[in-house]
Amino acid sequence: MSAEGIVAEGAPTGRDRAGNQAPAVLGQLWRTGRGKIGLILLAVFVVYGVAGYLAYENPPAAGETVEDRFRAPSVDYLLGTDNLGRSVWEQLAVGAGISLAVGVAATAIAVLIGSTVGITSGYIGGRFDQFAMGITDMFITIPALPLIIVLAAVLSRGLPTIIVVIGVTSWAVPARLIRAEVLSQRERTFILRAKAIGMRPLQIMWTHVLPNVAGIVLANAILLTAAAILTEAVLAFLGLGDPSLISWGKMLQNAFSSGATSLGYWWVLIPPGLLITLLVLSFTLVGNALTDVIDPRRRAE
Amino acid sequence: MSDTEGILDRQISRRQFMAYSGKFGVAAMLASPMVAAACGGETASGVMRFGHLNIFDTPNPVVTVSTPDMHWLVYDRLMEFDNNLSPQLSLATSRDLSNGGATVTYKIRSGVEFHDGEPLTSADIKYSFELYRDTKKGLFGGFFEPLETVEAPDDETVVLHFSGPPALDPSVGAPIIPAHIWQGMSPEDIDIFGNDEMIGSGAFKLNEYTPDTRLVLDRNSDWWGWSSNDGPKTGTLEQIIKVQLANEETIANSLRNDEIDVTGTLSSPDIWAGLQGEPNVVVEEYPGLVLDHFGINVYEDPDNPGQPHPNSGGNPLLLDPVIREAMSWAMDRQRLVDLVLGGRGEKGTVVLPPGLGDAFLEIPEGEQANGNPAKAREILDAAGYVDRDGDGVRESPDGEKLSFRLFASTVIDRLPLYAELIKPMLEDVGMEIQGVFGEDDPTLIQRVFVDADWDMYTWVWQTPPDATFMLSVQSCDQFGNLSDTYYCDAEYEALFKAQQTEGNPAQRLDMVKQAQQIFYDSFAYCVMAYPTKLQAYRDDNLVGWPFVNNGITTNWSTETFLIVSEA
Repeated sequence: MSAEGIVAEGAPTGRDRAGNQAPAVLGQLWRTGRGKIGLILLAVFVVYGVAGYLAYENPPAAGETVEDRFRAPSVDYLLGTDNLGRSVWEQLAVGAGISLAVGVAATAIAVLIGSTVGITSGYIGGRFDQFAMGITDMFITIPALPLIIVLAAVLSRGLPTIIVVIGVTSWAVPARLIRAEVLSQRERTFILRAKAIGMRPLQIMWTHVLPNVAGIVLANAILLTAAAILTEAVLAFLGLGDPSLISWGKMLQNAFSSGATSLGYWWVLIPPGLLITLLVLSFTLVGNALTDVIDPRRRAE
Repeated sequence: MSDTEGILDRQISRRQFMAYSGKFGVAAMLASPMVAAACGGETASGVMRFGHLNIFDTPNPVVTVSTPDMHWLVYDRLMEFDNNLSPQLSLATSRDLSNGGATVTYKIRSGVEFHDGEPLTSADIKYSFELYRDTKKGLFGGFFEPLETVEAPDDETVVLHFSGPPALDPSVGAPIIPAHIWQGMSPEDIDIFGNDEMIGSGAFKLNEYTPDTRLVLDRNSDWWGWSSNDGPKTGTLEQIIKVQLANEETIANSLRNDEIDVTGTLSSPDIWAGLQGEPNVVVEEYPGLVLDHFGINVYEDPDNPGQPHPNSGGNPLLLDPVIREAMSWAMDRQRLVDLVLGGRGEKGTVVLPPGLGDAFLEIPEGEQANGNPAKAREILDAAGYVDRDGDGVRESPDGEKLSFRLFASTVIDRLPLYAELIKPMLEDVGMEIQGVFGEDDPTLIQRVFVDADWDMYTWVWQTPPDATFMLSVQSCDQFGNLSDTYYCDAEYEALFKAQQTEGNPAQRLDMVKQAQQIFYDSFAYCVMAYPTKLQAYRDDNLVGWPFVNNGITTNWSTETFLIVSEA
């Protein structure tokens, strides 16, 4: 009798379960008010980011004359211009893609490390667990922002650096969460059966444990993305981002360093700030709603 | 020449860069609430609070390269620059020329004492000048090149023998250090001497120096120059507190909030303009001795002309002057001045800024290689640099792409702005520009000034009020030190050396102008702009602010500190 056969009798493999459940989860998510707003906002941002990437150069072209600097919004200059006469409208559009790309890519790194550590640690247990969780706790305890700033300052400047730095500093919390979930899965019957028929640990982790924690991983990833977007903005504002690309954080930094903040040139300052808030909000709404949907225990609370 | 930094404009030295970068981002968040604390809370009368991005590089006057004005307040000089940046007698009471101007005899004031009570005599001057002559250290070290011997026939007489009449007498920049403290140290010891006490004989004494935080100087009421001691300086400042602030926005707000009395140079025309109309704030635009440019790596192998030096990491295509000339034509400098400087400056041409007056070589508008992309394309086409594979980037006849790395320091806000504008201008004529705008500054400085591993580098120089310094930057002797091109041309070199001891002013000017023309025609520099100096100060706590050429607080004149008084 094959391993798959036995497992199929006891419970569907986690992989099947996750695959079958996706439309249902999305439906439930849509029915929650928060989820709906978040999903709509998110869809708008994705479309905006892609459209902005396709429509405009990054960085947008500068102005021509001294009059092009800090133009106030008007029909001809939608949202006005900044200190180099660059269109704020175009900068916002190209910045959306950067924020999304950094958020998603950094989260992918964090989730990859976090799930690997969380699943292996939870499943294998014992001394390995102690060791892995020791490292994880260390990463949780180190204040993240200073660490990120130091890493970003030491490594060469650029988008890849930012992504990697944010990724490798934000895996610890998901690792903890995933491990906790794995611990509760570990003693379930289908896992014990898989063990009994001699499946190798890696195989079990891949085919049974991972799919069963996928929901948690996903919900957490979405929340992580919100944090990563904020971190990118912070780094760009501190001048540690990719200086050759416009992102929303970079726009805020430009506004600050060019004096727009104290001169009251609101069109340079408010739009990127507002969009960062909305983008982070959309990820947070979806992430929280998703957590509720796939983790009924929490919903019950 | 001297170990001077490139960025006197902001009074940040290359060495200071090393210690500086990396932390200003964080400091930006913290600085504002700390201003009051750093200034010492309550404003005492007769205190000047001076907000700056960088306060001081070292208390050691022999090796300082970025804040000579602070050293000149603590150490006396034989001569000083007045507020028009003309040399005037200072510690010296008379200056007599003989031997066709090659011998200079100074009489100095008697009864002058160092801050520790020891007398200052001609022996101290002899010791100091011989040290500068032998080590070439410090901002004015290079000006000691023509100095041969120093005599001290009596306590109040110093005789300097030059190889020819010096174009600029180095006495105007050389701090007189106490031989009784410094004597006996080897040059290596002097290089690393901390000089925590800073014993000089000048108008102010060191009270406190906390690196990257604040520098506090107290009035030396025994100084010979104060009017209370029958001297010419009428100022009544009791204390100068130079406080380091993280960015220009913070500096401007500190001035608004009466937390500082005067700003350093503001490079943002908007932050500066934003101070206009604030109560008790005076906003001024001063003529500048500054040039913004990018230097091109032209490091050639002297044994194989036309071939790159083995130590050069630059793109060898840049050794072809045609490409460099095309870059100059591709550049719309008026647009750079308009957008980056907000119009507060002039478009650039030669290596000396127009603030140097007669020494500045004016290139007629019609002869400037500027603002003509069509011409750039034309000369590239004619030289065989055409785009053969249709990717928008030209190749050399050998198939090498015209692809260059453009580096920009981020310490001065406007440098990356220039770089951002230059990139599309050059791409427009068929070059590929990899903008590297974010490498940290110690790496960049190592890369350009030491490793010669760059193609183009945007940078700022501020020159002393004399032609020699800026010309010296392009001297063959400056490889690995000041040179940001590795340019070396025999004819230029000869003119540069000869003008240093040319006694006839008209002939010297002629040489200086010829040297500028030769260097301009090499296109090793692309001078983008000559910015003016933007500063602001408060006139409610302190009065009597002079108008100083090159800025109210300039590197070159200490006049402001010596004549302002409490209101």
